[in-house]
Amino acid sequence: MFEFLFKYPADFFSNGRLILALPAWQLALAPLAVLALALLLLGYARIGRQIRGRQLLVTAVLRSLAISLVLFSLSRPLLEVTARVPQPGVIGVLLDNSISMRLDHGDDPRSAYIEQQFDTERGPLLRSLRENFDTRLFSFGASTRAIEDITDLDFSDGDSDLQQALQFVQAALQGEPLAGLVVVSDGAVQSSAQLEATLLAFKAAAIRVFGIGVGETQYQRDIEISRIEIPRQVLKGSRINARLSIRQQGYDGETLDLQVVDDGRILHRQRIRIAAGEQSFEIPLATDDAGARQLEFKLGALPGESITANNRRQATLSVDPRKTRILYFEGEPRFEFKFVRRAVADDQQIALAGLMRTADAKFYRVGIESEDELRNGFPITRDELFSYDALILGSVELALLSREQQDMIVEFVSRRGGGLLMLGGRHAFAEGGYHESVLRDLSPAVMAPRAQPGFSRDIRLQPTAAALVHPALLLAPSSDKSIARWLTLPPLTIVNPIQQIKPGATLLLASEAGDDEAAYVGMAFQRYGRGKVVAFPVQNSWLWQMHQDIELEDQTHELLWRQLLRWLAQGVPERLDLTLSSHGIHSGGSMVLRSEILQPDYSADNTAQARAVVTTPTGLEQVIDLARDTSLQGVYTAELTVTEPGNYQVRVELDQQGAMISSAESQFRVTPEGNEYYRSEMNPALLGQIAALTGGEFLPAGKTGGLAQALGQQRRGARSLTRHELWDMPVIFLLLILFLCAEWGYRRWRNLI
Amino acid sequence: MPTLAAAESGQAGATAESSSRALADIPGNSHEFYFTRGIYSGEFDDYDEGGRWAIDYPKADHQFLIALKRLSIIDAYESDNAIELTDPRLRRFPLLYAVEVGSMSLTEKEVLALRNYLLAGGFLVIDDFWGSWAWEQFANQMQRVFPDRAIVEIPLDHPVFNAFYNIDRIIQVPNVRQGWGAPGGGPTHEYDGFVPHVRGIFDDDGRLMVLINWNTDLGDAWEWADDSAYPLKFSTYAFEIGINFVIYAMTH
Repeated sequence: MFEFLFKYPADFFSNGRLILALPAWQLALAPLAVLALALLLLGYARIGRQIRGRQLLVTAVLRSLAISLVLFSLSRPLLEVTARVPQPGVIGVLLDNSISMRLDHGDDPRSAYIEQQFDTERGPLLRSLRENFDTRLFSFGASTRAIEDITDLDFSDGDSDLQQALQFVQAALQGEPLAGLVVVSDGAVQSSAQLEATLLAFKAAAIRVFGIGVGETQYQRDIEISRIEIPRQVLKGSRINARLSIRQQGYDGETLDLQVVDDGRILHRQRIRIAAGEQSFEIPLATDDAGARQLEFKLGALPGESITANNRRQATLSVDPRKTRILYFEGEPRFEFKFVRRAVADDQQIALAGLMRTADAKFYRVGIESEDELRNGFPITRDELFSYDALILGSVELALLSREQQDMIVEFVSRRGGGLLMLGGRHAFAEGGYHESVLRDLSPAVMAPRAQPGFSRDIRLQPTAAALVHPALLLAPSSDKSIARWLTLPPLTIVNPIQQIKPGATLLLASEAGDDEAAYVGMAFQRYGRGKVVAFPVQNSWLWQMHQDIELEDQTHELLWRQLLRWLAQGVPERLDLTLSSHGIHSGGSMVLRSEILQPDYSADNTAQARAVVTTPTGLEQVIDLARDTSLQGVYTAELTVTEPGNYQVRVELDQQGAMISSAESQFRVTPEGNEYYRSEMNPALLGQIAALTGGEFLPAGKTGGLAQALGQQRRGARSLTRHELWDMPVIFLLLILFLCAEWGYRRWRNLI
Repeated sequence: MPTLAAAESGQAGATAESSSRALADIPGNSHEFYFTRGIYSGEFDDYDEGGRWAIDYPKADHQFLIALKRLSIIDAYESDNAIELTDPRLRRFPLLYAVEVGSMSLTEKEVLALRNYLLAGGFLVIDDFWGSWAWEQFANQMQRVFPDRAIVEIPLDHPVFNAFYNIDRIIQVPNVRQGWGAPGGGPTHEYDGFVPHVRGIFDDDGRLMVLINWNTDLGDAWEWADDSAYPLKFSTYAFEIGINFVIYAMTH
């Protein structure tokens, strides 16, 4: 009876939701409805004088009810019902098509599992899924696509991008009664924050992801170069330390060859002994050849290795051939000036201009490139100061610098990105009055609140842990030898009592703390804006050259100053730079080029028209326009998709105020496999995390029997949302007739017609 | 007016104590510059009166330091500082002054110490030796220190001549006795040292290590600068070129 009157079963109404789907145009009729109601009420008011109040009330209520029913029907009432539909749920199966699936470990390759389980005719897992679900197959690797069957797989993709794959499948199955996704993979994929965000979106949409792990979770015997850390850009001739991380299983205590090769030339070769687990090696490298260098680090293969492709890894290094310009301003005659100049005199990449105040208002210039350079003493214009890459402030009392020059020094570091080295001296730091100036902010060391003239202490400097990996302070090829050298250097004199560094600064050298005295700061640095500032508050580092205990052949003083000044001037931004998102990618992958562009005064240029010139491995040049990244000042990006394997050269060009400027050239390598052979063990942690985040399950390859059942418990995946028209329910018509007849009958009964 | 004898006497008295006293006096302070006089072994050393290294010492050193501190802003130790060439602390003083080197007769240890000092970055200023005989003696000693390095004339356009003052000619600075007579047309030279020279020894990178003032006596001009009878032009020149040597030594 209920269903006859209301058209739908009662549980529709208890579970459903009533909505009015009144079209917008009908809203325009609202004033007419109001007008009609007003006329109705007016009519009743007029006849109200002829009939009694109770009669009026009854007829008005009955008429109003009838009109309300009509209006209700006209407003297109719908019942929105969420309900399971009898149709089968859809399952998306993502099959890993990456090259790492070809790996075998003495038996079948990983891909064999997919070929056995997902064969259209005989695959048991695919069959069991298809018995209960509408199963759709997808191939994923560097890109994702829907496939008919596994004959479309070739297991040749580069870096797997699971995040992109999940998003693709979600979009492809949009609107389908999705019961869940199944990812069949070795888990050798790049995990990222974006992946996590995608999974959270799946969780919000109640889409469960089930992972099936293929392959070994740990190789019995394998060595892998897991990571290379190398500076992005160095000055030509700099000695750099590359940090090489190696993972291995099954070869504890073995020795093997390590080679670093640059364009076929062996840069470095050594025998290394490998310990258990993961370990790092500092590899000293010379950088004699300028330009974009593609360095290949290679480990010799050992018998029985699971994968040998991961014994080599590439890194890109840009070797800058230009001479950096450094200004050393000394406020009084000091031997430090002579010996710093002497230490870097042979360095072809450092042009050290010296300006020493010798008497009141009398300056002596050395190392200048033109007669006009420093003619007026310390630079009085930004153009002049900003032409240097780094600045050394010696024992320079504050009064020697005007307020404008002090501000220029701050901008030199923060905006131009120059390096500043603050030396100790009787007129430096608080003793020079810096503590009451803007120079105080620049210093990584906390200056004393007031000067302590006459203070003097001989201290022996010791390296901190940070110094032992700092490129400027490595005094020997290995950390052990470097420490040993530091500990035998003679003491130096400090006349600036500094015992604290600022939060965020890094302490590199310090004296040993005494029983009743804190340690003195020997060297500290901090980033300040675009640049960096080093405090080296000693006044006679030249003793490391001239002390009686220093052998004539000893190069410690020269090495330290060359490294320190190179590091200080290194990375000082050019007006146009270029960074790449990676050293190497797979064929078909994308490389993001990023360029920061500055105007001649080193402020961000937000109106530049820059282009990247890409030279492919076959020598073809491709020009791509860069687009401004509006979230950052002066930053431009372009995405480059590459298919052809080999080395690519990239530079950015720009026509700025009529002058063509070009960035240093950078380089990257494209290989078919990308990074697929690194960390290629089956990764149960990642697959488990994906399953856990979405409410799915992780199943090892041999234990997938319960998968169909686990998916079958899915209830929400087959949920369907339906809307049902209510305007034509019989009950509405019956009530309408009832109200109208009742009014008519009442009128007849009361003789009101 | 002080006499030469008085000067010689004062010099001898100071000398007897200096080789031990001056080193002991070097404080653990942190002056940037010490005007350091080299004590070397000589053929004519007379231990009653001191060695030839101590000619004009310490008054010349003191007077030079007064001028240096007045005319420049160098944080200089105001007193003398004499040190033996074999003293291990020699290398703490990157500028070394030595006189009367015609009598120099270095021991092997001194030869080695001086060579190491100069190669490490030390700078030696030679003064007050006259004539060809003294030159031969000195050149022989330098030959022992640097067998393969030549002594060459330093041209006037070398930076040492304009490090502080612009020196456009080399003046022969006479000793005090001849200085008194010079305004009257007396000779300024000693022995056959008629023409003054500034010569040098350079290292492999072209850096000046040894600066040799031959046939001239800057030290006497410093010492007697307070003597109104000693011509101002000589003492002025001596101070100017002396300060140039110091500034050069601290910048190159």
